[in-house]
Amino acid sequence: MSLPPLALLSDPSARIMAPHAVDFVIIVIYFAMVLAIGFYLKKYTTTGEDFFLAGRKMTAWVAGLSFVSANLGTLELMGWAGSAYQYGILAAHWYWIGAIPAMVFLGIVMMPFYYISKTHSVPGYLQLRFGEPTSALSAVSFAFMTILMSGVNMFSMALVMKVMLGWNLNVSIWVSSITVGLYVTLGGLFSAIFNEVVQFFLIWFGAMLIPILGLIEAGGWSGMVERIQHNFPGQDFTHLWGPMAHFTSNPMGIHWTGIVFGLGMTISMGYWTTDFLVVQRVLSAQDLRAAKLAPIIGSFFKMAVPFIVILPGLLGLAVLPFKLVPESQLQPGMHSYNEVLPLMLARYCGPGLLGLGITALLAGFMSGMAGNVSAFSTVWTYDLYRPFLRKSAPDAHYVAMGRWCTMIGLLISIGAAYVVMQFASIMDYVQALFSFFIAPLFGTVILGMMFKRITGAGAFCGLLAGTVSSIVMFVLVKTNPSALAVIALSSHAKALAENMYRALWSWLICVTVTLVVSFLTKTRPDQQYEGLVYGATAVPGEGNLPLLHRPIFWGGVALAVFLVLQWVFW
Amino acid sequence: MGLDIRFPIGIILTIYGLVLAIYGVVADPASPVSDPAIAENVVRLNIDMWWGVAMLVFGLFMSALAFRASRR
Repeated sequence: MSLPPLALLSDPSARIMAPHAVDFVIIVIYFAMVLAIGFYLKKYTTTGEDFFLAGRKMTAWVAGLSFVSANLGTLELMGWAGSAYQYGILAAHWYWIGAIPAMVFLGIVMMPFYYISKTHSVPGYLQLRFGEPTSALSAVSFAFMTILMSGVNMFSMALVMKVMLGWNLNVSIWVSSITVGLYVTLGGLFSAIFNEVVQFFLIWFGAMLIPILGLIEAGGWSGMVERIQHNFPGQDFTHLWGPMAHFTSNPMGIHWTGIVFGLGMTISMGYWTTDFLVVQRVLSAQDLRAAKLAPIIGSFFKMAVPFIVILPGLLGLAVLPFKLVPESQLQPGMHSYNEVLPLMLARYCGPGLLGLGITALLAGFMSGMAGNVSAFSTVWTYDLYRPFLRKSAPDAHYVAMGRWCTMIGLLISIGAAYVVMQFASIMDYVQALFSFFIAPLFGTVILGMMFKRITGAGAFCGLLAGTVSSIVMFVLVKTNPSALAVIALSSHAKALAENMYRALWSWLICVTVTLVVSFLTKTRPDQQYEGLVYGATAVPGEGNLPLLHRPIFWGGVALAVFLVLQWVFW
Repeated sequence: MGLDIRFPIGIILTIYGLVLAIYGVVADPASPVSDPAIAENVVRLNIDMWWGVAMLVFGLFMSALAFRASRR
């Protein structure tokens, strides 16, 4: 994933578009709306379960839409459109094999254990299953990561608004932070979820015109492919699996084993099944069936996202009269890969629609911040503060803590945003930072759910070993480039490939260490397994439901559609 | 209204639909971009109005669903 164009910060007249009054009207209406939703929902958030888990009242549709929308931030939208311009349809792998199997797996296999255990978070599940040490390890790393991501979101948004519209960085940061802070402090997870679903619809309405008008201009899919081959002869931008047979035959420098095992089985599983930001939304479902169905509903929408993200990037290759360049080669008057989405927006949308598009991008950033901050306050209050600092207090105390924590977390994110502004190269490391934690965490959680024999000591050692090994491999490749050939199986592998293989190895290391240490230690004699592990949990079957109501049926449909897409774009 | 999410979705889409549709009818949208090279060769229809109408219809549909559900 690439970053917003920093070089243009120095050229104040280089903004891409000049909005009109109607565009500002649309933007102001958005801010008023999200604040109004926050104020309205305050009366529904009295207990801890309301504030941190939306009362566990969300329907499958709401949980599912907010699940996919929490992940559909603007950084991803713009970054992946830029990646699609740079690498072609290969970028769609992150939306298909890099998401769909994992989302279906979460719904069918893992949700029963997350939901039946009545836990409130992923570290909460780890605490029930393995005890405090493992839970604290994952809680601390998650809290740190999520606040950092919130700051990165904030800074990226300010940067994008400056580059697109010429807005002042500080104004963007403070106005959006105060708005997000207000509506999450008031309405808790309810606010975050509601505004995410609103954002989801805004993004589709704001962005759908680009691929529609683009395909009309380019003359359909085949017209677009022709134009791309005319503009960029000799490169294949429109095949998904064909070029993956060798490291050197595709611009990403990845072999198909990296995509299938590194991305599909490890990174995507790690992210979609253990990243608390997304899991929190499914935990808020009203019953087990809704909880299982939510990620599956989300998967259908996720499969459709390439239409508004990848396709504009491809259309940019086809219709833009000039070529975009990487961030590192920017000169004044030129545009970078990441600007492809705003450029396409400017190409097709006049005033009014432009305001809608800008609002959709703003909404994406703000719901990302809201999600990060609400996840942070949940993990801090329930997984760090309550177990370690103040064990028994009335529920209202924790809700108050949650509200304060939201504001404080936001201030810390603003601080992080300013730090990132000073040291922009931090952004390069944020992705790597995330990757250190998610693959091993997936190993720990899935082993815990599947095998009773895994002990607390085993889980802690495995998680630590997996995380540390990932850091070590990363540092090794940075300091000694010949290590790349060992870790990523080829010296031609690029950064993306290295990430995938590193995730795979760190997962294997976590699993191996967990198993070895577990067999060497004893389980706790009073170990409560009910609701936490396969074999000790009475998971209600789906047999008594009509076929169309069964999550497993829809999971199957999602996988079938996914396979058809792979075949169509092979 | 309760916690039915279709209400806020319906409201905001209806409002936006109205704003866009009315703007599309009343004003003659000129190109907002600063670099004309970005928007060359593009035929500008009155998309504002049509898309505004589409959003308005969808927004009203959502609001109607929510309203019906709250009366039951």
